[in-house]
Amino acid sequence: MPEDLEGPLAVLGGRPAFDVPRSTAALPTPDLEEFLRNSRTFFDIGRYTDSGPTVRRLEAALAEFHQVEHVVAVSGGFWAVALTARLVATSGRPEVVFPSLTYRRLADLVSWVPLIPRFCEVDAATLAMTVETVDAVMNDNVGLILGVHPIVGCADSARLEAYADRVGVPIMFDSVESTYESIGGRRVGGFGQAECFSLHASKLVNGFEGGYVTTNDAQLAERLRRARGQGFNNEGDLEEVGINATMPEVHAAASLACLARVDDIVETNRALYEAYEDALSGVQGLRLLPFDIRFRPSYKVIVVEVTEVWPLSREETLAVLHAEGVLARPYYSPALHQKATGYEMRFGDLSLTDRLSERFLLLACGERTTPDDARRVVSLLVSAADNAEQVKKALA
Amino acid sequence: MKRRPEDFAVNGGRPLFEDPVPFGQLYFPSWERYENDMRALWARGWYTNHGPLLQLFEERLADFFGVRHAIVSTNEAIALSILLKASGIRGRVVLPAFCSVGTARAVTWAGLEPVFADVDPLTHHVSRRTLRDALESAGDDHGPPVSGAVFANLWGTAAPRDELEEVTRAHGLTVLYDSAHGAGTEVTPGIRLGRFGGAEVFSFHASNVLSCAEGAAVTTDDDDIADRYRNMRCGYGIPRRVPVPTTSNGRASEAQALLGLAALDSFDEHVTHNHAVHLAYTDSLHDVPGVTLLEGRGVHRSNGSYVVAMVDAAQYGMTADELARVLHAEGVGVGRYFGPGAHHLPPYVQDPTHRRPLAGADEVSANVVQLPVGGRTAGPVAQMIAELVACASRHAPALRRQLDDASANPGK
Repeated sequence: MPEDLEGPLAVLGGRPAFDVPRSTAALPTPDLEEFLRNSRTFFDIGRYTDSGPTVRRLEAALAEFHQVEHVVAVSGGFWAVALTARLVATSGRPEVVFPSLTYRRLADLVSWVPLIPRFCEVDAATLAMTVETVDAVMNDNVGLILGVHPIVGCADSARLEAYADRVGVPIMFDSVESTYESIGGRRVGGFGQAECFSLHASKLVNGFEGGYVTTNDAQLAERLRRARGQGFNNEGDLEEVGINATMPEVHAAASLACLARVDDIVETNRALYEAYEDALSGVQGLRLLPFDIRFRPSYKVIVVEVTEVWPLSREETLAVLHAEGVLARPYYSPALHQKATGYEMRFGDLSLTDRLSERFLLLACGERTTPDDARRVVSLLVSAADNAEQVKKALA
Repeated sequence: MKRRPEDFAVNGGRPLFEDPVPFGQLYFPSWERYENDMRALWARGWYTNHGPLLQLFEERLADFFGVRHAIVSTNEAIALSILLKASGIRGRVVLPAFCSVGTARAVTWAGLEPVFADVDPLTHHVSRRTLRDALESAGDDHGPPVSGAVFANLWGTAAPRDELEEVTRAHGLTVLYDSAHGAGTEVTPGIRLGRFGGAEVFSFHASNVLSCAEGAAVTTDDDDIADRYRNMRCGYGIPRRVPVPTTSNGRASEAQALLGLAALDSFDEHVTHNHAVHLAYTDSLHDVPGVTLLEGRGVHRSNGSYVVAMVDAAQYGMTADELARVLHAEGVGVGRYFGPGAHHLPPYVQDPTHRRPLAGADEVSANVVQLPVGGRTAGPVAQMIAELVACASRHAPALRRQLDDASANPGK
């Protein structure tokens, strides 16, 4: 162990534990030679974008990965969700239901479609939206259910899908956080009308920037292909209100190379998770959110609940870690309904979300964080708890 | 060269180009440069979120365009949709009827309604007269107020800024320029497009002269627009936090910036090549009746990124559409931008306010073709294409008969 640990915490005047900050982003690295080989495919024929051979190969590989019929690659996860929502939502019904405790840009995103967020609660134990929390806010203005998954574990997509069917509202999923997972033996990707994913560098598969939509609906896939290229069909006629959301070939070359080693990435993630699990097992007041193997987890992110027993607040805990070069982040906080926006949002009582948005934090993870780093992060946390009074005073 | 009608590929002859000549600028770094820069990028481990290459690219672009802010984004349509919101335009916005449909799409995604202005068939640009007509008709139809205008600097030429801005000033409109094609075009010696109106948007799509494969930049000297734009683009690269109505994702990656930096390094070379290709076309086409190449009016030096031919069907013997089909069959990548105009396309066509006749735009759409110029079109290839255009004119009646038959029996 490095000598820094012997010294005081950085918030108490010591040296930061990490010279190079450890973040919560996955940042997986592909095999560089494979990336270059993939690049040759488009370089040699001079086709740099507009669904060239590399993007088409990526779409086929992702279809196999998710066990779905169709994949449409786009410029990013944001536009994957926005384009799909525009095509799938029932017109004349302006509301879209999703939890407030989710991705920080999701309400902004649907404002572009344009749809009005109607926030639902999540389950206190799983942090996932459920049929019950959706049903509690369902009304005649709802034209779309936007399923999302918590960062650890999954929502019950099959039940949500059956519910949406029953009430006659289309359902799509933003499954960015559950790219690798299975639910009830079905791979994520095949639920609802469509599911959307990100290939941003911070995600499971690093394609620099990028996103894609999976679906088993051939007609929807065709409409999405048109929509990502402004809306033209093969005959040059304009049919959809699309926007250019084309993935350049170079991003597909990186995505393909990363996807090729995704099982290795998950193994590495698991080793890190187990190191955290071990190190945190004796720590009172911090509860590591467990991955449930029934979901075939990717172990991508480490989330900890700060319980009443822990002597520091979550914000104090984050400040301690930031000072050490650990870029820990609060979990979906502030929640979406707590932010001021330039568009309308609709919601009722979200007191559970209010409480949950103050309780969780994400610890350093990804390929740049080693199991040794994990043990070091936990020792820093233990040291902060041991010196809680001093830490509080220093941060006050 | 093709001596008889039977020699043409539409008649079953061998295509002039076995390997089709692709349309678009299609410049790309050498493999050596790409590999070296990519190895360094992966070693650095910074992939996106306003990384070091993107920061350098923005600095160099600000210098290139001579502006305070050059903000790099995913692509032009997404950049324009964000810019429209960042510049505070509300209600309706004037845009050319002859323009990329992406411009109209950006307007729609920004929650605005388009008012289409006709264009002058000689210049392809909105004029003082057509702008006044558009504003007058918008005033009559009781729709939401018009608060902005987007003019297009097409083909490496420039819209007539002075006369247009005289009108927009009188109406208090915010002006943006869709300068998709215009990177590096000098309006006067040493002064490039990029500094005009509230802001301009440039496309760095592979088909344009400065390519990131996909990409765009917003250029402006207006600090407020720049701040709002940066706050809406993504969560990174924000020197000053300001309130914005919503945010988007308009990020560009380090890979895109890497390509853009290489394109800047070779920019002068690419423009020189473009002009050489232009010369090859002009030399071979100047005595072909009914084909006129659009001159870069209103600019000191165009970037040469598009070769735009206007076809007078009566003189040439074929319509632009027929010529495009003949060339396509020969393996020539031909552009048919922008036909039909956005006012003929859904959802705009369903709106009765867009049913105003826009004769100039319709005329240009019907008569225009763009010929290949760029990194994959050598000068001698351009000369062969020009000769093909000349030959096709001589055999026009026979070729038209063949095209009519093909249209009547599309299965054949």
